[in-house]
Amino acid sequence: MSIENAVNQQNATRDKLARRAGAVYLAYIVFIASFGIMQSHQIAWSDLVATAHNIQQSIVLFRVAFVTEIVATLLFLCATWSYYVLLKPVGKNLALLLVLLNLAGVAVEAASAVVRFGALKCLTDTDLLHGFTVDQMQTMAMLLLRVGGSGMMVANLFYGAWLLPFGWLVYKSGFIPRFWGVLLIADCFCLWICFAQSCLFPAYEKWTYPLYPIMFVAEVGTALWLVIKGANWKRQQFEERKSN
Amino acid sequence: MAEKTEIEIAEDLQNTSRRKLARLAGFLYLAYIVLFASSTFIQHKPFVWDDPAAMARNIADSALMIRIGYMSEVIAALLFLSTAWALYALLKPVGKNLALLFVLFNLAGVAVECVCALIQIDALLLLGDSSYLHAFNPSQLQTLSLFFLGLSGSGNMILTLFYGAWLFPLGYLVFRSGFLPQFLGVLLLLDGLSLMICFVQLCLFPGHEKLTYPLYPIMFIAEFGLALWLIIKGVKTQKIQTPAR
Repeated sequence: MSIENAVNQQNATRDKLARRAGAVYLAYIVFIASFGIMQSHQIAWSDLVATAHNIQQSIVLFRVAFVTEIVATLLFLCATWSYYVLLKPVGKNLALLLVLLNLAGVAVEAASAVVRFGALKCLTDTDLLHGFTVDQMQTMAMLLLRVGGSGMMVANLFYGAWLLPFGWLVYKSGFIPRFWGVLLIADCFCLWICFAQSCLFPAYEKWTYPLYPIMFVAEVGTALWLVIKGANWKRQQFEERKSN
Repeated sequence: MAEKTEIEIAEDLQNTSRRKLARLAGFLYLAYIVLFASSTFIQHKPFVWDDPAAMARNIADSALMIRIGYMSEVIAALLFLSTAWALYALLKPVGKNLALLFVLFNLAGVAVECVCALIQIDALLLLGDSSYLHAFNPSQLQTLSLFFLGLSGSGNMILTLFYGAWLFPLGYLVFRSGFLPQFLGVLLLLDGLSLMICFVQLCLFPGHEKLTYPLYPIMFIAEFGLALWLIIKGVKTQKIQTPAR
């Protein structure tokens, strides 16, 4: 009887952990998506005058976008840590690897966000930069935006890599359907293809569009599954078998 | 033959998993060294420090090569972190907390390296793709590019600190392990010391890289040696210590 209690207790804890991890991950997705939308409203990568104009028009939006991205990276790391806690019993070392790889990506993304934030200084802090012409300052701003943009490219390498141990542990876990593990590993390779594309052929982003559905389903799907279903997949199967 | 005792079975299990981990760490380390060396080799060409115009021409000519070099540097950083993790898994039984410490030092270094790399690539490509940079004249662009290169150079200085620091706990654990030779541990500690000297040189006496050239063989032998040892020799099989009765 006491063993059964202990098992129940363990399942309940794991279930709570899984739902929390999924919820934090969903929050991350919401934040990063809204950052993307805000950024695409302001930045026209090929038109630096329009970009400069947009940013000067709505400085607050630029700042809000910056904060949203930084909070998103924080949430991402929190979500990863929750996955670590959830999956540690499946494989301790691999669970640590997942956090390490994600942390590297988060550090790079945060650093590149700071560089992009520098664009605001170029466009608004006129006292600081009176040695340059307006044209030159706009160019500087675009330059910083682009340098920061390539930070996202580097971050993608790590954001792909952490999915490999993550997907593997999900696959092995027994309490999350294997399907999600396979999808997460596929997602890893999608992100690596995106990384290679942006490194070598930066102008051909089109090539990677067909991969977006896979990435979307893998990341949002896993998070939703965890929030809704928790982590008692095996137990459900077990009970079904018992009732048959 | 008598059946194996439980202890012997446990020993076999431990030794097999350790051997696998050692091999994995060795291969990752070697892959890192090869990739990092080739990225340095590929990127070497554009740097004609005293002639920015020639540098600009080099860069425009070999944009794809620069991109490949850059990509391999970042992938090398990923492999380095994975190596540190594999060594962590291998050496955790020797000292759990110190093993975590060297992974963390390594991680800090990897993050700094990636940031440096991205500043550096932009500095180089700045000279190649100037479609949106017409507000500056060519000599201004060259100055700007050198400025970014200098910035990423200071990043490399910080990097040296972390890439040196992780070798101290690593070397100590290798020395204490009992399944890897002690001289490798000593070499790694010397390697850490060498990198610290490089760090001090870069901080205080920039431009005098010559001073640290004699240290390069130590660094090379220590890191390459560890990788090769792990791949070729692996780890010594160990008996589990049973408490004396």
